[in-house]
Amino acid sequence: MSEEVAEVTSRNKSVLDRELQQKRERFQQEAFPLMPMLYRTALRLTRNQHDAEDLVQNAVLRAYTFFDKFQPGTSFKAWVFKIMTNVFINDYHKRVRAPLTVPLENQSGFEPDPEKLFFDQVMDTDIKKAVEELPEVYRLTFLLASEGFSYKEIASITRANLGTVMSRLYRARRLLQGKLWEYAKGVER
Amino acid sequence: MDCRHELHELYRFLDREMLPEEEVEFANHMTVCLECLKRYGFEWQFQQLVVRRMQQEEVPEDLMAKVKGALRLI
Repeated sequence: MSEEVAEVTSRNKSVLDRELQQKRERFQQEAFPLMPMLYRTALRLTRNQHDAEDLVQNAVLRAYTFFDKFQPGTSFKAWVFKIMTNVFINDYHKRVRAPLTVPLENQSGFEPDPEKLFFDQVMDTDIKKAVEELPEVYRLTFLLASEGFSYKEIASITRANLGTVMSRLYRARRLLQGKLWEYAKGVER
Repeated sequence: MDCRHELHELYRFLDREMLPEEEVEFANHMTVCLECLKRYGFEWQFQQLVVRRMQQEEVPEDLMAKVKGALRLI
């Protein structure tokens, strides 16, 4: 390589490095504030810290790889959650070889009685347990709703239609309340 | 239950998924329907409780470091 070519190459390389660094910084500015949300959702999805960390890391790295495909003006948060959901459904399930559970629709419903001391008796550990015991699709839908996503966004993230999102959210809430109600009654005794 | 509102509707109200005019209509309904009002109070409290619990988790410090390190390698 002649000296001239070497110089041009090294100049190109430094331009490339700088662009890469700028891209990384832009990405980090968008993605890092979402880490707490991503992590706690991952934690409830995988139900353990190790898998949750893996899931978040894979999702964030994949989002970075495809950062050029992100359409400015749309919700970055929804985009990243969609990627994490895909990683969870595709990779995680393949790895643990467990199919995505689709619950039967006739699971027992529950009519809470708001007059009773429901809220006084529900404990923090119960909530975590009850959420983790929800069938997966309900859990995912519920967690996304709890993170403030609109029905439309949840529909896009989970590739379901609006009606399905609403009925999953409905079922998730009913099941969750039913479970917590059972735990609360257990405390009473 | 003689209330014309389904729980689905109450959830749409709770989740701020209603159009402004629907919201007003539902809010008006709750001024006369004690059943819906109580139910809404319960569902709202329930949502607050769960969301608060879900938000208690902190990101492990080494995860941030791991992600930062991995981004540099791509």
